[in-house]
Amino acid sequence: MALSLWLGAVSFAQPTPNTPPPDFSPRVFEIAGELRCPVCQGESAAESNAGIAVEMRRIIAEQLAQGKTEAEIRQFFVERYGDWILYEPPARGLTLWVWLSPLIGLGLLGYGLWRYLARVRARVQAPIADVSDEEIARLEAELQTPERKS
Amino acid sequence: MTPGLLGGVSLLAALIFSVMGLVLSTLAYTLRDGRYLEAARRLSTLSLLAALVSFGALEWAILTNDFSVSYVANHSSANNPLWVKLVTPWAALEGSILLWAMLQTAYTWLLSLRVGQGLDIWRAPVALGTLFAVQVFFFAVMVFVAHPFDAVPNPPPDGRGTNPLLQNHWMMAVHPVLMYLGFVGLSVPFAYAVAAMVAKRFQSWIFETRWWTLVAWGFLTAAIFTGKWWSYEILGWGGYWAWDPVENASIIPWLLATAFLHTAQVQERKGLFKGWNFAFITLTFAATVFGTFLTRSGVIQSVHAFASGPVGAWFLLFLLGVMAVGLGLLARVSAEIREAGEVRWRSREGALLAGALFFGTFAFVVVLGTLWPLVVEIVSGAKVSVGAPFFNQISIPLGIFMLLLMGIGPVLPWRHTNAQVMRNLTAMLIALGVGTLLGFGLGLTLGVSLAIGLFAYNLTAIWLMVAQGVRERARALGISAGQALVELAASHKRRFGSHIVHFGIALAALTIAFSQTYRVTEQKTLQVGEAWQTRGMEVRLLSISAKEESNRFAAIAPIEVRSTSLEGWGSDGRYQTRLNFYPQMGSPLATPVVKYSLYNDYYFVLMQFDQERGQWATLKIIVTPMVWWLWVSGLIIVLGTLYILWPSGARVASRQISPTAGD
Repeated sequence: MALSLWLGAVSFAQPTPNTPPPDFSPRVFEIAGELRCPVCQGESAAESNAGIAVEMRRIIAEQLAQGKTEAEIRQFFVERYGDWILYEPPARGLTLWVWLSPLIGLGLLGYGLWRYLARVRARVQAPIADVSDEEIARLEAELQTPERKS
Repeated sequence: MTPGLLGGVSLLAALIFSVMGLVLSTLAYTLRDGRYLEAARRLSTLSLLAALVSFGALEWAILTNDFSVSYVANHSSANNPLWVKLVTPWAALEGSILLWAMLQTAYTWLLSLRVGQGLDIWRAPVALGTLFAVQVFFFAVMVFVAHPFDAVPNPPPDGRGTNPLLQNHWMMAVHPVLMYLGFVGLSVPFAYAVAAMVAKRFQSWIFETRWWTLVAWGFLTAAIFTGKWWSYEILGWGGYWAWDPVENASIIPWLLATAFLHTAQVQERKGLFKGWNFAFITLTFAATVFGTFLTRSGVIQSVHAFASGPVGAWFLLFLLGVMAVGLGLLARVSAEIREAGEVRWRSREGALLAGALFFGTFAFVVVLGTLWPLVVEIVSGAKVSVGAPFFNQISIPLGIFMLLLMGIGPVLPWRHTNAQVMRNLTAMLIALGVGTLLGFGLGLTLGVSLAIGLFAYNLTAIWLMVAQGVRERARALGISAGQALVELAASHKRRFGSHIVHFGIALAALTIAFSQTYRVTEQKTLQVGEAWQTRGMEVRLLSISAKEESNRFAAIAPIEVRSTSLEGWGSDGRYQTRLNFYPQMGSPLATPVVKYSLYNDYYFVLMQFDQERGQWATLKIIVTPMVWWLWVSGLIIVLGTLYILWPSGARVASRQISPTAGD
């Protein structure tokens, strides 16, 4: 069979043993989707076809069969690889800041906006006299620009 | 002349023209001399021609298999099919920078056509000079760091081949070009903004750049959707968005540009937010450079990091330069920006600002989330990941807020709210409640039910606005409702276009909620001839065979799929799942069979197979609801954008701005 001829060369690159992998339920992929494939460029253990990702899915299936919970399985991988293996960073320590980022962003932008609006409103109440002649001249020049189509 | 020589010479010429253009623009500005400006304008044409020649030379070298050119030797192969050769220029670093630079010269040239028309003598040299400076950067990077036309002393008989991920789908011919058209297009509003700040004309640029921004935004949207599609069809994981750093790099400018398109309207109508808009457009353009820095520097691991090289530091410097120019100028003129007025939160401008606030926050979260692993590693040495589960959770509340605002915003009038508005809002909220309850009644999750509610809410908002306009017009002019609708749509293109875009966004949100919640993945190993009953179908493995193709080997496992129940799968037949093996790639590349349908997508991936005797194969099946509608929604958004941009005789004046609200 031609297959086996070139597959000898191919299997070099694919170190997985030539035994059929077990069947995986949707649950396996759900859990694997939250774990990083250690050797891949930013793929999860559910997506990648790399040997180690295949092995991780096998371990997850095995541990699920043993009746372990999702948290226990995640813990198993964290003990081996550290927090880095989790795609969802823990909400403590340095990565707590990432979880707070929406609030920080909203706070910063909101504060800026509030200051801006306060300044704009203050201008409304300011006397019109503080517009300099030069500025009025410039404004008029701009209004006379021949074409101001959008 | 060889293509390599022609390419090298034209690249150098393009750099020289760009430098000259920058110098002449500067002279035109400092001396206030129109002759220098005219010369700079002509240089934009010359640099465009030089870039075209250079790009043509690269194509020529690739098509003629000239492996004495470094780029061709490293990234092409004589065995590549013609279409792959045609798209190889943007398959790797040097070529994609060349494509970017070429598109940049085209945009500069387009802007130069406005000199003397929309762009007056005070601003034109600055706007043109800004774009020339951008050109100088790109051509300098190519000439000094990432030269595509380096001579290979001993040309190999064949090149190293093109990245297989890019060869597997025709979408790769389209997606990068769209992405660069979007990225580069954002340099034009930035140039206008710089010119406005230098010439201290803070208002008019916003009208002039709306078209440019929308064009860039449209390209960016199309690029993001084609990228999703490519990712869906090629990467073999049945998803379309993974919050990968490179994907984030494309969404950050999109989010900021979206925020800008909304606050720009407040400036157009009320003359407010000039300073914010300068800052936003600077950040938007900077985000495109930031994205390129992330993609090309190799500081962050990514599944899409197709091209990395020694250019990271240059892009970082360029990024800092863009920020320094934009924000520095803003700091210098901010005291002079005169704007006075009052913003009521319960009005259109309030909703637009709140929307921009959320888009800005979203962009902030994505930037921080993408960079945080790097920050943590620098600070503490620890390695952490910030990935899809995080971004998905964060984007749910932000998305809900944005969808709520998207419905309210256009309904609210610019000034005071009135009884009619309150009635509309009530109707929308009822739609929200009914939709959500309907979802619950069908046994769907809270998130998906809410997504249905929000879709109904936005649909109601659009319907109420259109119906109201049609009713009023039909009554006032005594014409039929259909005719009134056609007339309104033709005369209020901007408003109708934005309705279409908003509808597309609402639909996209709905499809994302469904597909993310109800995606199911299963895997099973089948013996040849064995059948697998699952999810309303029977999948039979027919055989396993090998095939040698021009540039790859393939393992092919044909399957036969039959329906076993009425629901779901409806395309009985034989399909080929395959794994492609490329000599330049360590692991095989799956070519999934994707069967689209209006409700569920069925996705078959060959995972593994018996390499010795061809007795068994492992199949992965992914069933995802409503993905087809995601592509439809992308198309709707792009068509809506085109509708706004489409030139027409009856253009509606969009500047009902009083002079006092101006500068």
